[in-house]
Amino acid sequence: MHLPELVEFVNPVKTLCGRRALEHLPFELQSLGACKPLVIRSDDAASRDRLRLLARVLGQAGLSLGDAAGTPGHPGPSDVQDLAAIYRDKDCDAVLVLGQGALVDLAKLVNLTVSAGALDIAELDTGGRGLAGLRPLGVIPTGVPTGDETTGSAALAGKTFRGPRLAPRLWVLDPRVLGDDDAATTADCFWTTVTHAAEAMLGPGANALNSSCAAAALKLAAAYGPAGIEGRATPEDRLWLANGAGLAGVAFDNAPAGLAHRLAVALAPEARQPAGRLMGVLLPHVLEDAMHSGDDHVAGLLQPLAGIAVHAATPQDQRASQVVARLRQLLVRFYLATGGRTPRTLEDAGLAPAALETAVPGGPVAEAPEERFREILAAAWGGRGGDPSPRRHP
Amino acid sequence: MATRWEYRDHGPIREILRCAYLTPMLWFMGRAVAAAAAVDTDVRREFDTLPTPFTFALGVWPAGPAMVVAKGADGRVRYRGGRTAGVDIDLLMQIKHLETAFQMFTFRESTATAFARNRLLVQGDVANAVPVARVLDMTEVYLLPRVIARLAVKRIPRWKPWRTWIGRLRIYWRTLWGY
Repeated sequence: MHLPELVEFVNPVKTLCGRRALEHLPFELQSLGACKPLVIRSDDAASRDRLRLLARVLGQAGLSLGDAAGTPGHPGPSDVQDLAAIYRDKDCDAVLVLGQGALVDLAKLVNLTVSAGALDIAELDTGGRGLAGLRPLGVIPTGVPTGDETTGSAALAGKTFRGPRLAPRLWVLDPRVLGDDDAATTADCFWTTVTHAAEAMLGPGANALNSSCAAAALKLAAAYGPAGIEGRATPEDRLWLANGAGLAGVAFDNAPAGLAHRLAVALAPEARQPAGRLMGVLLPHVLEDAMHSGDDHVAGLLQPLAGIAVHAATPQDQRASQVVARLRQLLVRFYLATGGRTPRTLEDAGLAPAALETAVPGGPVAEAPEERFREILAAAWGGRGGDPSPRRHP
Repeated sequence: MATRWEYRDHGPIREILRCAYLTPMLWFMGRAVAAAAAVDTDVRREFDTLPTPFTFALGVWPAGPAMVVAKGADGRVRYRGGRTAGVDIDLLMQIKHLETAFQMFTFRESTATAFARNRLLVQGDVANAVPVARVLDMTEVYLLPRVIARLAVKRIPRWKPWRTWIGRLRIYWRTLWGY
């Protein structure tokens, strides 16, 4: 393993996972100095049932809660302002989210707004405040998470806020609350988790601390993800996939964003698909490119991805190509399991060849050689790959 | 279009039924610990390893039902009631949630499993918590029929039947009459 001269690793997220994990929440909240959290949730029947359970668990421990329910399809700055006003008016002292995805991003920004004493998100500064300066934020996923919940970034109305302190303090996974989701959403979570974890293990800042976190995430996703996508998931599978997603978010936060992540984020608006879906298409090509460029760390992904037995049985020089082959195999399996909603290629994702130009230099990913991007994107568009001959980039 | 956010307050809940079950259970348990210390040599030996005087409490966080047991300066173990407020406690063990306590005292989750799942808080010297946990386990073995005790403790000690039965009778007698 590469040992850098300086290592920084932070995991501000405390995970409460498993049977009756929710019952630990009142104590954790009170340890963080909170006794009346504002619960942000979407207004639907399933969410109401979960709120009833949460209100009971907190109420039994003598805590109150404020329940803010709404149906924000695409939350905007006005939602942040409204919720921040409710938080202040009702004397809340923490933020909890019953849900995942955009709702968590909204809660992160509400928390930042109320902690900073700001009135508008334009006044927000994500970098300057220490961990102690923010109110506690807890996330209780009710479905398959997107994988971005435990990261220190939040997207709202086309603008991305990123700061080391935006990550939630509590990540609560309780089988009574964590529900099912459709196969394509589960596949998005799987690919986001695998991409974040793999790129954290391969990136220039990879170190023992972050790699162990990323390897655990990769292992959990590989062990419990496919069952969820192919419709044979048990509540335990969902729980551990969500755990993997949370860990991958922490690993992602401690490493620079990798190529597959950045290309997917750049292409997602054009494809009108979640970025996670495109990460799955791009990751095997990015790894193949790294393999051909002589990056021998790709082989290290085989053990968490396929298990120690496969890793041991595969000759050293074949491990990297085995990783890429396995990811491609999963891509095809998920394509079939989701009836084509999870694409195998960028062409399946509805992107025209001309649209690929949005992601090449000059666009959001600008520091690597242009030719390299074009090769990766062209291969991902047509689904080409599997060429075993080594190719060296200048 | 801006989202309309509906707000509702949810206050603390008074769980009368669970408290009505747990309060007498802890009362009985506290008195049974004191009785077991007088009756059983192994329990007595565990108390001898604790400092003198020594007070410990087992209760539900934050202010639920509790039991306080004290070993006095004379070495005698007494039940000190169900209130932890205002009592100088050397070792405070609290179950993190009322529902978890209910699971434990209805023997659906053993004390060892609850410890392993981090459902208990220990404030005080952890070294003293170990003999106290053993005392609680032995008292439960005396109080409960074998089939239920197996759910509550990690391992049933191999005692001679006469020890269990005579000890059980004496502990129940002393617990009920409080001496």
